[in-house]
Amino acid sequence: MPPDEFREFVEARYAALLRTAYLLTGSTHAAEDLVQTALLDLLPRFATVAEPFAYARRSMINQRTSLWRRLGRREVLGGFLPDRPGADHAAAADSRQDLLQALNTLPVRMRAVLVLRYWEDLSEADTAEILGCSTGTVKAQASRGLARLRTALGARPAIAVKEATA
Amino acid sequence: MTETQLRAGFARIVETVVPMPDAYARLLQRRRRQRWRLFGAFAALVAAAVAVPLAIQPTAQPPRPTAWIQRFFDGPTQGGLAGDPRFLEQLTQLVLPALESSAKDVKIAYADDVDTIRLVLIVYRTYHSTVAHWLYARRGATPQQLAAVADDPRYSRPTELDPFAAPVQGLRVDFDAADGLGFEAHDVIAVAPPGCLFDVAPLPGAGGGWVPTGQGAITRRYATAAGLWRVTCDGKVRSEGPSWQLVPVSGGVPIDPAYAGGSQSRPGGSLEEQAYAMYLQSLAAFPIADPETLYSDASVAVVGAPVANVLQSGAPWNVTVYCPMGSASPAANPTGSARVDAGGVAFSLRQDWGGRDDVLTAVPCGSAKDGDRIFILADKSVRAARILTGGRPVDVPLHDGAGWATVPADQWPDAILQLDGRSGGRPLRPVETGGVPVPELSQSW
Repeated sequence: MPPDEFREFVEARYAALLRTAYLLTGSTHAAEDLVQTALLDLLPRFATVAEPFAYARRSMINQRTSLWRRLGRREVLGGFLPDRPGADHAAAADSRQDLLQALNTLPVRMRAVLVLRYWEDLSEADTAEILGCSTGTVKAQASRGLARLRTALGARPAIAVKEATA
Repeated sequence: MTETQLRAGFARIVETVVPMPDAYARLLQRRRRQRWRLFGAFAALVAAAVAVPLAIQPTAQPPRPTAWIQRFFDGPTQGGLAGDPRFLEQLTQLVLPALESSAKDVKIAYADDVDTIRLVLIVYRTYHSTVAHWLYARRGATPQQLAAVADDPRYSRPTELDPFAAPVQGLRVDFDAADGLGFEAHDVIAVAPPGCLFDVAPLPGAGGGWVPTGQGAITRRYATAAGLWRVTCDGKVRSEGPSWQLVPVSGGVPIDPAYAGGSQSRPGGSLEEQAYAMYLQSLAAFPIADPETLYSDASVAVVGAPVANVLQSGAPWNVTVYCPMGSASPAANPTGSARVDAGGVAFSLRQDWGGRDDVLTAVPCGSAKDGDRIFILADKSVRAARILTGGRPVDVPLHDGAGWATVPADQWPDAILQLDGRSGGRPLRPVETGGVPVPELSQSW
């Protein structure tokens, strides 16, 4: 059985990991998949990992950006968002949906850069370290990503969503 | 968009993200499934260790190619670049170092520009098989550029040559993000041997008949890939199938018996039987030696209906659900949440595994046309399920332990699943998405 500390960690940090995963994937189910895989990756190392949250986050990023993982997925997700607006105001829901659809047009690594930099508030150096690239690349990807989002959102509603990932 | 705006946008997006209850319990359940998979993989390795030497011992000879495979080597190159001998010669020479060391009879069987992508099919023989090696690059790529990506798995797909079956499914080309080109998505459906021509047709129920393409290859964008195709060679239909090979489709013609010879093998029978058999083949790496079908719903005659297949052979059981991604009519898609393409319906796949002691799953399969459908699978003896939500209970008749329910997705987190009217019940636990029908261990698809 996993240690109690692991259970406590999961219960305390699952939601935070799920939010990041959702921003990385744009899909509730894919986000759950990502988080669970990362946590199961963490489990056998839990006792020895100094910062389990950082480890799980890195694991999620690696899974998401891993070439083999991407090629290995056969599921074809269209450019739709499975979540419903719920009781929120329609305009806010539209805004969320627009941004998510714009994010869906970005390549996974570029999207990961934006999430790490502007959601997780990691430095360029930390982001580069997680993604295994230079800080210059992070800077360039962040800049291009913002520009592409700007363009995509400016071109609403005719965003062509072609990404097919899990 | 500024950094500040993006931060605010992210915050708005995650406002609605709430984990389903009992995250830890669901995590442990997944862990148990993983162990089943590892067990399955281990058993498969053991089986392979025993079976492979037995299989290759009697005849240590290279496989004899069928006449259809031989045509790829004997016939002319196909595609729009076939008339550029300099391109073909250069590419053949440059690509050699990237191929298997035992490669011989290397030939470019097909080369063309399709939309924004340049597609090349190189065929060659090795000691054990005949290989179809696909290369992809941007439209207009030079032989040097193509050769440079020949061993890059992003742009290169070696696979066993099958002259009629879809050699590449779900091709997705992710050109380097930094160049701003973004993402391309294509299905390469098939390239037939020289002298053969393709016809295409929509799925049954979608209306329309066979349409000759006049070409020996068909390539389509993935969103329009669902449909039927057939190959006619020498005035006779040799093969016919669904363009998404795992989707069972009713009707069809038998495969040319001559095709079954040589090193290749392929199921015969109706299209539905073919698709089902191919599905079984895709599971060959798992220890499902004699799978039992628990449930199969192949009602794609109504375009957009979900399809499920369930296999079991002791343990683990496996369920694969084909979820339509489009709706037959744009009018039925007011939310814009599903793809609608004139060419047909694309399917996404959901998959779950489990052991005999835990035959219970709920596989979500949402679509604009069908609502938020869930495939319920329980023990074969269970006749009915009831889903308790905040509103009216949803009763689900089960046949052989399986059936479909419609429950709005926003009610899933709080829903309780009861079986056969028993009190209590358990949280409805829709399986995570992202399954791959080909075992994850192979990773190449």
